[in-house]
Amino acid sequence: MSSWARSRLLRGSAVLAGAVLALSACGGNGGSHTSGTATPDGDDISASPTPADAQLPGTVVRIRITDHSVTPDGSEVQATHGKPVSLLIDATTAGELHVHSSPEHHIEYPAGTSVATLTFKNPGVIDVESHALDKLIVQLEVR
Amino acid sequence: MILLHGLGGAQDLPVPAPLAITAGGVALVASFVVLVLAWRRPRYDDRPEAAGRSRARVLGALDSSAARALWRLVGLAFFGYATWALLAGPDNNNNPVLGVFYVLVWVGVVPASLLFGRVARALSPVRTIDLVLGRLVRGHPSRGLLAYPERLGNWPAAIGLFWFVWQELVDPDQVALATIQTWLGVYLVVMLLGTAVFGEVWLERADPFEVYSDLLAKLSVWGRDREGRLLLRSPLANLATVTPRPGLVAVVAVLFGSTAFDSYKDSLRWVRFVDARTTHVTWFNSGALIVFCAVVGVTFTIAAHATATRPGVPRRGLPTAYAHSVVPIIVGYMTAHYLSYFVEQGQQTVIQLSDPMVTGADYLGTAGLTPNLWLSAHPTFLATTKVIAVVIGHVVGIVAAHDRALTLLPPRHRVTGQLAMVAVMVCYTIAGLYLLFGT
Repeated sequence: MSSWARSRLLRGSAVLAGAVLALSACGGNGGSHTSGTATPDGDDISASPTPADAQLPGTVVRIRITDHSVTPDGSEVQATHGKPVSLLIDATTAGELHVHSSPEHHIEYPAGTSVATLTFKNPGVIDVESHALDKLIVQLEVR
Repeated sequence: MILLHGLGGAQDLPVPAPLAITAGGVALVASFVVLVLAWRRPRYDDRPEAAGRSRARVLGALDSSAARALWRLVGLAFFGYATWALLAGPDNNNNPVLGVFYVLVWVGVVPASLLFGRVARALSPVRTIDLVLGRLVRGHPSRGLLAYPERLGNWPAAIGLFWFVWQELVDPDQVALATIQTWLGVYLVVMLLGTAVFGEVWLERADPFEVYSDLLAKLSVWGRDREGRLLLRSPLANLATVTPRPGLVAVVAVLFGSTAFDSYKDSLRWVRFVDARTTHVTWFNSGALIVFCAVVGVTFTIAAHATATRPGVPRRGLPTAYAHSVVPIIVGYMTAHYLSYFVEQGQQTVIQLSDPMVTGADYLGTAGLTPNLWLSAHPTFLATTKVIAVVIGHVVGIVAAHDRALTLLPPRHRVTGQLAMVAVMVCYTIAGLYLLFGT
């Protein structure tokens, strides 16, 4: 796909209403770490420190990020549209993930463990990348 | 500004394997049917103008100087509006100029030329500026200081097209306004200098957008007779009138190779390879882009050479003589590759165009619209459409090559002389399907 434009034009649901992607906080409560913003179409983008992965909904992807590396580094994960995908993030320092859906979303995560839950409205291939390392983590094949 | 390596937005799901395999099979069978069973005398060559006389009056109105002037004004107004956003708008993702440059102009030229003919020529702001300047300064807008060297052919356009796709697919700063400003600035200067030296013929042969659009327009129903009058004709007959010039093979190789590279560079294999590199990523991507274009150019040239020819038909002219037949294959593959992108990003661009300074304005009344993502929501329909486009492109390409072969090849080698060309086209189509199927 012609690259750049997908990353630019469909970024930010402020310009693209129809909730294509819904990110929801999972577990994090009591004003812990809340990054991201609620957007006009009702998407709530946040990551929260919650290690309780036993109850994580839907497809679970475990991600470990250090200052120099990330695992997995470019694997393919199958998911279903309308069903949640939970990213269980274990990071040495706080940072940001880029979810190349339409529209794009940025997920800020804290140091330590946190969870981001994403639900995609439409099928497609969606890359999840580490911003600081500029590397592909997983490619979600949403059917 | 946050930029990753050009990967962004949801991409289409891979085409399902059974669909891709079926399409490959159909393409293969159709090729041999055309090769063995199709007509034995050229149908499209040697019949430069056969149709459309009765409609000449209506067409004359469409082609009148008033209509031309109207399109020139539309083109100039649109160019001015986009330039305003380019020069004064914010350097971020909401600036519509990115979508105008990479989606509406670059991808939009394909459907626009197929439907309406030589749109770049009609709308081109460079041509308009040249017309005005020519009239004011030179007196003879169409004449330059020197004759355009025949050997140059379409080579400058091939270079321009390569420069565009490099910027779109490889340049890490592809979305920075400064990058687009530089590209357009250099393009304008080179085009205007070229017309000053060689006259209008420079735009016809060297302007990447005009050459691209003119080539695609040959697959439309809008043709021209010897006197340059507009007429309606079958797209296949129209396609046979592509003028074979030096560099035409390079033009089609860049167009096809770059689209294939665009598919390949998003594959997990290539992303993993590039991610494992800490330096020289741009060089690896540039190298790969060149390799993709070169493979197309070289395989096509070899396939065209692999035959006996009629006396008086020089062998080295064969690749250019066949080059028009790759155009349908390119169109089929581009449709497959860019359909959802064009429809969905195109809508987004039209929405953004209402607010060029990103100040919350709504000049065109489109700011409040939301893109319709129906195509993405129906992946089976999308995949089927893509595969059908590839197969149709392949069949039309094979037919065009067959018809040209009948003119070029001695009767004895009518079938064997086409084998290499058919084989290479089948390879292009299978490779395209493989890239759509996912690597």
